[in-house]
Amino acid sequence: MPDDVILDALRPEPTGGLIVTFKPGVDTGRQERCLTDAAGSGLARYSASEADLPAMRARSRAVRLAETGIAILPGLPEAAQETAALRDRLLNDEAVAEIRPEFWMFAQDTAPAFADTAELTWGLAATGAALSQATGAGVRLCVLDTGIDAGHPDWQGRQITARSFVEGEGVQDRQGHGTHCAGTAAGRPAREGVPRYGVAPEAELFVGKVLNDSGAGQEGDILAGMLWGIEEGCAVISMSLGRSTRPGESYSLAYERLGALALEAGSLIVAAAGNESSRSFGLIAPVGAPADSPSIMAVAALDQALAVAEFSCGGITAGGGEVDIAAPGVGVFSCVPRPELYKKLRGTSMACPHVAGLAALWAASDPALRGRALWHMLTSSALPLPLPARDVGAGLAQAPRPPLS
Amino acid sequence: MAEISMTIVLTQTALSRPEEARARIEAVGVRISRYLPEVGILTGSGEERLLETLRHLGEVAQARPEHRVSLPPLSGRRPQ
Repeated sequence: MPDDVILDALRPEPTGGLIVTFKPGVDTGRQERCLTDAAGSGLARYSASEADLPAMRARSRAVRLAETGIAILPGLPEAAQETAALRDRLLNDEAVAEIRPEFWMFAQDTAPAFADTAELTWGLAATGAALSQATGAGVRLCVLDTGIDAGHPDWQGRQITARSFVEGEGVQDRQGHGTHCAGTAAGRPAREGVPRYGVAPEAELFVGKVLNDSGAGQEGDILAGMLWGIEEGCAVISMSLGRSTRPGESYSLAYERLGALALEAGSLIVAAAGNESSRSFGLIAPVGAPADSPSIMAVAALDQALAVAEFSCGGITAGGGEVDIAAPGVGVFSCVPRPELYKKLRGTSMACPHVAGLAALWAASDPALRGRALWHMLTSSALPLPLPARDVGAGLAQAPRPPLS
Repeated sequence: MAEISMTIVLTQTALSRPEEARARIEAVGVRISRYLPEVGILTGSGEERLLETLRHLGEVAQARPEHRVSLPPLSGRRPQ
């Protein structure tokens, strides 16, 4: 069974040594006699304040951990039969409570570097959006997705231009993905009981519904939505959507033509890199379409420790299939349609609107930052990470910071 | 032969004569559902064999099956 193979691969490997635990009340003299009888001479006593354990292990047949009633018998990988015989001798000693193989152990994942607070989400802290003086005011930001729940309390009083490209459906978001992404890109500032989660809270929001109420969409509708965003003069177009690609697959000329047109027209299209990787199993899937187009910025997802997310696709196809930049994409808090109101989600779909919002902040900070200039500013100001460019591109996208006084 | 949806991209040259290109594509049997003449992109449907025919038209830079995009159910457990 494939699952059994995977589970076997994940099981910890034995070192070849043994861990012996003595019964309570067995004195140290009795412990030492037991170890000497079983393993022969070469017994060492380890105390944390006195000795170097690795060196002691290397030269001893057994190491007794002082005051614990536990001993380590370092094994030799090539002496498995000897270790088995040793285990049998110890099992027959009534002073021994338990004897187990010793396993290699590894550190757990890095502790999170960022966390949500009552004031703002971790993504806004990590990208510096919360410190930026820019708000996105005066910049048109377009989200192409499942529409929006404009009746959500957090969108009240907000000017939103919306259009549906899905036949027979209005712009109302009944799936939730679009409202969540729009919230991350341009949601409102903090209010009582709800942290700020929108990167560019004063951007002028355009919403193109290109995915239907089930979350599915056709290329034709998506392409039409992209053209609409460009023609509306949106400085940023956020596309948290896509399909998987095969390694080495060439990009779609249709998406590329619109990406290039956008850059020429002063728009920047950012797209989710995709979620098909299973990195803990060694699988890195290629960036999906349309993010694999050379003129569309591909966004990877990071977790709260600024490690690449388990699922985030990587740049393994050259000629456009590279990851360009990375942003928070795990445990992302944002709004969803009524009555639920809020939800935490993960995915490159959540990373993409972070970058879109940051692009709007940059565009608001300098009217010259449009199209290719905006692309360059985002990648050149990104925080480099100690991770392969294949996975995170230029690094963690950043907001424009106030000048140092 | 299976009926499929397709995405067709015109060459840069054909962009200057978009209606002529559209007529040529319709003439080979493609039913056009959406046309973006500003960027020379069409979507439509027809028999799968038409893709090969389209690729040999001078007006066509790329002809591919139209892909669909599909999101997973909205859940914190599944990457979006």
